[in-house]
Amino acid sequence: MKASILALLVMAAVFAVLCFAVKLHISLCLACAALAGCLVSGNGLGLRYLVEGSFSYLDTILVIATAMIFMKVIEAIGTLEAISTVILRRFYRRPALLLICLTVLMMLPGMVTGSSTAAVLSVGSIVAPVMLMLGIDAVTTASLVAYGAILGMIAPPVNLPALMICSGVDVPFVSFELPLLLLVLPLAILLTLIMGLKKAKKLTKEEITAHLGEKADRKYSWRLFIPVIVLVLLIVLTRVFKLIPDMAMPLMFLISAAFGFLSGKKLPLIATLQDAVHSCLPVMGILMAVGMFIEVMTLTGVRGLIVAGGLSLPQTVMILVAAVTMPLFGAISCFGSASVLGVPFSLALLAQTDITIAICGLSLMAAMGDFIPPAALAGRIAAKTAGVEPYSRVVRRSLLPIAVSLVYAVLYILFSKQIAGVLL
Amino acid sequence: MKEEKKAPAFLKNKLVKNLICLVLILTVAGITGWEFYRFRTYREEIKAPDGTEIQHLSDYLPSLKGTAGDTEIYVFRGEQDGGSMLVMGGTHADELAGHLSAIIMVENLKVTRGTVYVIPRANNSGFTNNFPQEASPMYIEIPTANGTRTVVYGSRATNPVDQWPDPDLYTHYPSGQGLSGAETRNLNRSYPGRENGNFTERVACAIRNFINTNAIDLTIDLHEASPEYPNINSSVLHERAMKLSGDASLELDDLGISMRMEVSPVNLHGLTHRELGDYTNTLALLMETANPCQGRIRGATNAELALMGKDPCYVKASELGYLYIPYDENGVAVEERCGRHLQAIQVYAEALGWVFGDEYTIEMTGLPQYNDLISASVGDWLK
Repeated sequence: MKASILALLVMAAVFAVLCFAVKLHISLCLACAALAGCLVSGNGLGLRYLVEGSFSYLDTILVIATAMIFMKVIEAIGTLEAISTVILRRFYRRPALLLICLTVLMMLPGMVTGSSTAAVLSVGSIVAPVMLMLGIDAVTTASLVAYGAILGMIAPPVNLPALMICSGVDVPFVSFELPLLLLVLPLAILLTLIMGLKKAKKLTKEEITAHLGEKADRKYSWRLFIPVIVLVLLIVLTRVFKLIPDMAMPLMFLISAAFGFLSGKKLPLIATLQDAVHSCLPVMGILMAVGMFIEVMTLTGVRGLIVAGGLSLPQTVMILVAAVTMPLFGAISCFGSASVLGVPFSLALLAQTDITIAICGLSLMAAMGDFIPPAALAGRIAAKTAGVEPYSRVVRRSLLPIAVSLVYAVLYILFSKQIAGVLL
Repeated sequence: MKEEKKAPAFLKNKLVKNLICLVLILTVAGITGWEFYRFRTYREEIKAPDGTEIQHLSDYLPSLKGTAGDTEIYVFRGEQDGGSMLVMGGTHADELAGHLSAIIMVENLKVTRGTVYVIPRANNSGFTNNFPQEASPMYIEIPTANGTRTVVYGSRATNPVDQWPDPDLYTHYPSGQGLSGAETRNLNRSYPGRENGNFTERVACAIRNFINTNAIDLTIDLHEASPEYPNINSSVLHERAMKLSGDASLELDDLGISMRMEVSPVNLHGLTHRELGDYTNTLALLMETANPCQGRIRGATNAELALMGKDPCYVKASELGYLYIPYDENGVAVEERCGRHLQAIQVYAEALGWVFGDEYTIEMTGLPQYNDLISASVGDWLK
């Protein structure tokens, strides 16, 4: 165990020095920390472990890359501008209703794909400009976009953290729909209104006309919307009605993006592809490095040390411990948190709680890690979409939704048996 | 005035920087690529006695021929007619005791009555990769009288090279149950399988076809799980195997081996004990021993942990009451885990005759008893 403690200290120190003193990119800091962990634990360079770990999120990386290509295509042909303008022209008089609709819209891709990152990448660019036009500041916009995407990931029908925990404790993923809806919807509505409504302006016709300028009366061709319609159709046909085999999100994004050629607008293909890959390269790098980092944590025993440490605290505060450690581990990977911490916590809570409700609560705790740096995928992409730098500003603004969500998740687990009595 | 640190001149050249990066990447890719390729193509030796009949899964589903899903089925026929039993190891290639017990069976078993079939690498593809983030060892070396034997320690899932990509949500066929995407490569979530399904479903289908074609009376699927998992040191069984399992458990109790009985949940689909029981006439059950090398609480991960099962983090978890087995600094060695499996297989084979009548009797010799294994080394039972 001493060797594991040494590895933990060395990995943390290398990460801190490179990140805060040398100011290297986070992906490089994580990769170097993982390499240091290998060296100090007597595993040499551990190249096999580093490469194996980096493959953990290959599928997610492909989703991000292809989603970004799709977004850049619809940005280039003017679809994004058209959607946000049309939404604003229709709903500018009712900011509360508009905000709630935007949050639900933000949640939809996460509900279907199970990925908050895909949600921010696909719908974030539509929602963020509308929020900004409503007068909500960029930092709050980024926070709300990320929060909607993260809640969408937890909402039914597809909640990947819950599915991962279920797999680890052999609980079938059935009857989760109602508990997850009750977990997510109140938070989505309440926090959106608390954070956004105060800042959103009720615009007059004149203001909106002045704000939109020439766009106020512009007519948009329906052909601009073809890529979005194709994407929605593909998702609905594969995931909801299951009429065609699931071709996975990357292929859906690419097929939909290809329909951009039918928009009637000039599409500079190579430049758009280069721009897309360039935009998401840092995020993809972070994901690869996170995979390496967790692999070396497992190799050196650091992962076990953290889990055993969490479990060794008094059982009465077990749920509170989960509420702190799961988002913190989620800072490396929300899915890693569900798998590494969610499973042992679920097993420990098995006797005292209704396990279906408890897993719902634990999945929300893990999901909050998507806000926490260094990884913070959903948060970082949302910040980029809203044009906020540095990301720490978004974290500070997101403390309220994070805290409220964690308290709600704790209550959900504490009263799981009563909730199950009503819902299940 | 402080002198500004300057990067070496050659690093200012973008082409040079890119070339350095490219060389580094190619070097790492070359070294690790060779290591992964060697692992994927490595075949551990299984020394079946001369003349042992060997079939293949592809005999029961031809589309598996020439793929990593094809695997050997070792057949041991007694001179007298009797019952038939299938023992599967390596459904999950990272559950060492299941795989090793099946190898020990192949190398030592003698059947005088009935027929015993053994598949040591049920999901053969799982033995060609490791699961990312698990940091599993690739090879386990075991000393034997004839030198060191190398056994593969693989992955819980089919190699993505054979089946990729995973869906976001895996929908089990035919139940429609939703599972996390990675479970689509888990053989023990893919039963009953389908002929035209994905790679893992086809392996499951071949096993089901094999059981139906040979009218297997009893199927035992050997597994391991983490010590914090509730169903360890237990048999999880289809409801039709209740009577058999009850009698076998009593006999195992008499031998000093506590084996809990868990009935297969009807709404948990894709597993051997549920689907093989429902879709074939076999009595299906799955046995679990405790392997700390699989748990989330484990400390440093290496071959020694897989073999010796000693882990200080688990000692701590045991003191805190989180484990479902007694666990101390002596750990749970592979000898104890294989001993439990092999002893239970022998008792179940015997029980088949007691419970269902003489025509189902299986008589076999040559396998180590539980006490033989815990007082020796698994290497003593490898040829």
